[in-house]
Amino acid sequence: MPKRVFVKYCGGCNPHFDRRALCLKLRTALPQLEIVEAHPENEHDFVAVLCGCRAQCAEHSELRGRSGKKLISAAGDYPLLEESIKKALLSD
Amino acid sequence: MALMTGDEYVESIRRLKMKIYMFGETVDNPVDNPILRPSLNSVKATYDLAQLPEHADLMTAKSHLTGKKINRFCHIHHSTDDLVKKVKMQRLCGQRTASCFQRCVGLDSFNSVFSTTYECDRKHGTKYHENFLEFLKEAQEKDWTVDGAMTDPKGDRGLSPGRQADPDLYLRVVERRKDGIVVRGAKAHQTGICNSHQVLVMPTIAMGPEDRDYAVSFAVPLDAENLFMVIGRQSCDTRKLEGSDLDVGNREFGGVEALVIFDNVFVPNERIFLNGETDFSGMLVERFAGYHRQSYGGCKVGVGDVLIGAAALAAEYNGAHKASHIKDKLIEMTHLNETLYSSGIACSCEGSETASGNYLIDLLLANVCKQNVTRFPYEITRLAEDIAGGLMVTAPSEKDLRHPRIGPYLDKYLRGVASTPTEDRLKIMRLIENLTLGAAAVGYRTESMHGAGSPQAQRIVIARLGNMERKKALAKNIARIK
Repeated sequence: MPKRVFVKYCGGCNPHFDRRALCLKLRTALPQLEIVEAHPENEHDFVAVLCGCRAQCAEHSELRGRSGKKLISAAGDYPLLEESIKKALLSD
Repeated sequence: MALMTGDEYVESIRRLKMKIYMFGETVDNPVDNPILRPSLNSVKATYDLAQLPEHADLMTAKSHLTGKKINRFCHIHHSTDDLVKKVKMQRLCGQRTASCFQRCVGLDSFNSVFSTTYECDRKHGTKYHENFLEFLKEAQEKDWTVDGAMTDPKGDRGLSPGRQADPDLYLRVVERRKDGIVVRGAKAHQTGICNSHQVLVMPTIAMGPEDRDYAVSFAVPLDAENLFMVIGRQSCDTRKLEGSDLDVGNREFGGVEALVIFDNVFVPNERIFLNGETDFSGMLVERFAGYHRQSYGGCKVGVGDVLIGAAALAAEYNGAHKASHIKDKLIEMTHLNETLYSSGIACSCEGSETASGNYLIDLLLANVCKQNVTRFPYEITRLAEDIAGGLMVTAPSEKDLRHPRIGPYLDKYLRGVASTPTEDRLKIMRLIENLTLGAAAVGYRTESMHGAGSPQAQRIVIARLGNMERKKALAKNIARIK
């Protein structure tokens, strides 16, 4: 069973980048992982929080990733996110 | 079914047998009527957006009554964070529809009736809060769109409700029965009423003991017996009948207002939320107005985002976008728009808990917010028209553009930069026209002026809450006046 990354979004009132496009980029870059955008249970291997701006208002305090969580709020931070996921889930 | 899909919402409205008049005729099928459909689509967007994971944080909330996930438009605010999210949600909806999406008036009435009925019950021993909670639970469970109806026709503005030449110029109770009340009157300028499942009626002003019959709040379905509505005209409304996508500017979305008439409508006891307690009429009005004035710091900002974007594109399409005065005008538009947003956010952050447990915005800042909204969209539209140029009101029709003989001439002579198709340039012109003086100007301009209360209504609250004595004391202290 592939390891699962849950992508949590902020509400998107005035995002400075296309958050869903970034999620798709993640799917393409990491096909060996299951990237989900909605999941009722709080059981994920990793949580990626995508905020559209520096206000970073996404509600994620109760979200836990077994191997970590990373929040980004700018498109330029994408490499950091991908790297964090790889390190947490694919390093072995 | 705490969250309906957009399609389910449309079908739920279709099932209502509302009595609607437009152009002197009854509208048997409002859902598919080309004049009304864009306004329904705007409300539908509030359901569609709630289904998307990338907007769920704003568009949905957890019901404090059932613990279920509900649409935020049915939510009772329980923190300042809820109040902030409301404004952000409205900005999002404004961006996606470039029009009034009509559903905030229900949210604002929910929250004002929630706290007012609680306090009324505590003083008078009434059961209105209990009634309201049952109504709210059903609204959340069925994901209703509710029209919050406040504005009475008001007749002679110099006279109180009971002293009007015609006593029906303010909606009133005409009969009290064992099982309920019968009401008669009208509510004017009702945004989105023909796209709503229920109407939640509230009094329109603070009242004295002599106006007991006018201090009434209740809810009824829109297909209640003896209730009917007459749709208001909008500039360029009949363009929607011409079948042109281009000429309407915004094919998909729009707003709608109507005069709704209650011609002896029965209201059962369990749907009554105020019935003669005149001392709570003012509280209900003030709270609803406050919430609704906060709303404008979100919804109009979202529409403003679209208009600013359209103005920027108009400049790019005619090659003027690098001119310093164009850049400066776009900066000014953005500054004005974000100033509106700032006060919407500020009055939310400074909100406080009511006795009932829900959160109320800071009333002074909410009124400052709306006061700004009565002005800034006018300046934003002026600047948009300035940037767009005269073509936004002189461009020929889509039929001319498609005409085999004259179309090529229009394509040739109305082109701006060579790389942009003439049709795209005209589309942006029509969008700007739509927002500044077409059908959407109802929502973006005049609604900004008069919706949630005309400018003077805010100035009265600002005068009352402005803390002038403290300001004078501060000045005396600095000037060493004893």
